Amino acid sequence: MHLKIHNVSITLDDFHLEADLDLPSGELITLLGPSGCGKTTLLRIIAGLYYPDEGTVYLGERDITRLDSRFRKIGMVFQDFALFPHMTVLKNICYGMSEKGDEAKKKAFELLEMVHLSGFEKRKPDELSGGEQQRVALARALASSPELLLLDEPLSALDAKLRRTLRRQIREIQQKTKITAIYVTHDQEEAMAISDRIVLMDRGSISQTGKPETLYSRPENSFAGGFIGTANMIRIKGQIFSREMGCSFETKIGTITLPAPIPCTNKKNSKGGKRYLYFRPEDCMISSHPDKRSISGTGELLYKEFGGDFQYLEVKSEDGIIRLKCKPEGEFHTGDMISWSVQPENCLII
Amino acid sequence: MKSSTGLKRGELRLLPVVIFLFLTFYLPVAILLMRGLRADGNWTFQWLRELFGSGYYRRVFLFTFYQALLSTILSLIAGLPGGWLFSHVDFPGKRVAKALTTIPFILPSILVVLGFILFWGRQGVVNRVLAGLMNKEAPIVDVLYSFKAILLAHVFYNFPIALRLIAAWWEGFPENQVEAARTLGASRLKIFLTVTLPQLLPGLLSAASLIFLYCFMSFAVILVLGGGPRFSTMEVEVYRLIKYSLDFGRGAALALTETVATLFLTFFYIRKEQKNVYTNSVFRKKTAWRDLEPSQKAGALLYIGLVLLVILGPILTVMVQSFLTRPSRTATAIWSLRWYREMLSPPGGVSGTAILAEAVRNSLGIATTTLILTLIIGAYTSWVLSRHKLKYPGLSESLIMMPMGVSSVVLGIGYLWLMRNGTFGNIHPVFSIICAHTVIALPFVLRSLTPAMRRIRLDLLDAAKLMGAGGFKRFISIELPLIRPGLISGGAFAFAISLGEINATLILSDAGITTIPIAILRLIGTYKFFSACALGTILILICLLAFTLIDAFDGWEN
Repeated sequence: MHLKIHNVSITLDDFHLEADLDLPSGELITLLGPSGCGKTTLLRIIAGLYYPDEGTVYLGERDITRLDSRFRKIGMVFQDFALFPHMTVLKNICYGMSEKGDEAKKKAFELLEMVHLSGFEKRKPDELSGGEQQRVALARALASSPELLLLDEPLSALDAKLRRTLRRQIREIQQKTKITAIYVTHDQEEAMAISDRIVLMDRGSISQTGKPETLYSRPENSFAGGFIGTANMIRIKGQIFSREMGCSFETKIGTITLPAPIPCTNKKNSKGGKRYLYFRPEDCMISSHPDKRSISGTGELLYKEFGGDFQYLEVKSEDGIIRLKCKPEGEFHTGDMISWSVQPENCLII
Repeated sequence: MKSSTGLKRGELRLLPVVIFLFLTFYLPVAILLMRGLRADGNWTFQWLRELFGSGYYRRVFLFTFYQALLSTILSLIAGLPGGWLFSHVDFPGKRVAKALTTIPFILPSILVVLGFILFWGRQGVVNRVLAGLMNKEAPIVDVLYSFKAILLAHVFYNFPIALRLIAAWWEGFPENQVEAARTLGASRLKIFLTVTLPQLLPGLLSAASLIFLYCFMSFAVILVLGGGPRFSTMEVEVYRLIKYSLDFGRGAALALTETVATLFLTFFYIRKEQKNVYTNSVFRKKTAWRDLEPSQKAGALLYIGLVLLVILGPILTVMVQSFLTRPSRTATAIWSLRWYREMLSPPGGVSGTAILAEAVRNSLGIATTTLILTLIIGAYTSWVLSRHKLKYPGLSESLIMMPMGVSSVVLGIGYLWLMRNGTFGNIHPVFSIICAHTVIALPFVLRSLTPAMRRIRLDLLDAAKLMGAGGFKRFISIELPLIRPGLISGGAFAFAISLGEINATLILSDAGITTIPIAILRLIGTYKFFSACALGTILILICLLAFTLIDAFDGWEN
């Protein structure tokens, strides 16, 4: 079901949230952001556990802004699952079903099979592992055939390996049931792995919305650039001068002249805000003889990590640190002087 | 209001409880206490001045404080090892042992006094056994009718409270802190003194203030076991002044002084408790008995043995005594059902059956009604307190818990005067007794229900709500089952408190309503100790049966 959040705002103590979103049906949408960004608050507004001060929430054609959450037809998986400890798995799953008796049981067994927990129906929550509890919570949230599925950091209580398996299961079940799902997480890797669309949030407002690929390759502001993946951001001092075939500007690592026009994605901060030259570590290369077009520098190697199929290097520069992610070729030691370069087409000004 | 769940305003919903308590508690107590400030229709401090001017009453004040303080310290010391044992070790018979610790609490004071006389007395079991062992003349232990007897009885009554509160507190204390301290090289003693004790302190303090309060208001123990005016407390003096000397002004003034002190203590205790919000229901892993070190085992066994002796000694003496009879004054006792037979068909032809049956029927009827009333009022009140926003949450809760801080003697007399007043028409004494019992038991029920209610995580209720459950369904299907342990233990206490209550009952039952404790009191009054033991045994059996039934229900699923 299509969800529309229209100019919603809420103030809770000293926290203020504003959101305006249009989320298409059948997608898995992630609310991503650091803790305190308002993602859980937004989720609770959608669930009806908070009422917004202003604005409207539509589920399909229905205005549900002030509708009691009982009647919203929303399934929710809570952060620590919120399974009823005094009920068996079966009773937990059947709790909100409109079906009764054998019909409810049949449906519950189907759901248990879907989350790979057949045979667990008689257990109590405290007899289940964390991952099993999570899957029961998912089955329970889906049991009343909701129009919208909300997941509030559903994997944060679990260990890394289990998280990977379960996020895939959640994604597969979502795709199978074609339910619209809103998934809250602070883990950008998790968000990129399973989302159709990411809503990136920062300090009570939406920073950028888009497909994972877009957020990664074309961040619209420094927060998006810095939060998703690792990035190099070099502060631009003063104005950017347009040249005939590109532009030039001052940075701490020197004057940079770019031959081709660089895409500028920063919409929010285009007036007066700080601006950065932005590029990804994996676009950075080690090269002692960079060509003229590229942006380059030389500095002391401060830190290195071996990552299997890549190596990660941090090189000192006048602006701080330049991060490189490259093939594990060549043997470097901390203290060595390293020359790096990046092609202008891999750069953004944000 | 942002949140659609939970925190709605609760003042209006609390109103029924407030009205109930006003009528059944605040009004009667206020009427009695005001009498202490009035003479000849005018307001006066005359009675209070007289009290504070008198050396005798000053001594009574001091002694009341002193004995309560000493009893409290001794009870805490006696309860501490048990608190450790119950929260750290799983041993065979633990359930039974835990049930045993509730026995002193539920025993009517009159029965405890009887048991103490028969067990610790000069001719009692302890002395006879010791004399037999040491080949000496009895008495070897002479504690009765002295300050020692008061302390012993107070410890008997109150160390189980210390034990349970300390155990509950220790239960929630994270073991990994102890482990961390150990890895940092601290000795066991140092760990206990620097890590465990400071964090147990709130639990100890709340246990201490509760025990202090009980000892402060202790009645039958002081009256009978203390052995005279030398060891008299304020509670006993209030009773004497009003019941025997008919000195209402001075009695009410003393009651006023006492009540101010106890209410102050109660307020302190409740405030203390309110800070102790247990948020996590994590239960610690217990060590199995066989994994204990030999020294620990020996210590634990010694402790359990002592506890059994102190708790079971007086009780078993009462029970055994009820099956004994002496054919003549000098003959050795033989087993007999004589006292039970006599209860059913007493010599002299008076219909004893009727009296006994009536006493049992009255007691059960009153206790059951009290149980139901307190559970309904208690569950509702704890729900309002935990799920609603109140303007003055601490104060409201304190006002509701206040009946803890007023002695049942004061409450009973207050009822009597209120009813004599005639404002409420002709209320049958049974109803006033039930009301008094409900008021007395309610704080105990609330004390076990409110924390349980608060412990329920709100996202469980949110989850239920999102699955379409309304407020009533949430209460029935989530909250009620999750506070069931609280309902069971609270209910058991309410039932037991009502069964054993004698002070208020005695004052209110002038019209001739006999309950089991009153019947026992009458039997003791006429020196029919054996019959008293027989009836006491029946009372104990009813209590045990109730606890067993409740236990059985506890294991019964759905």
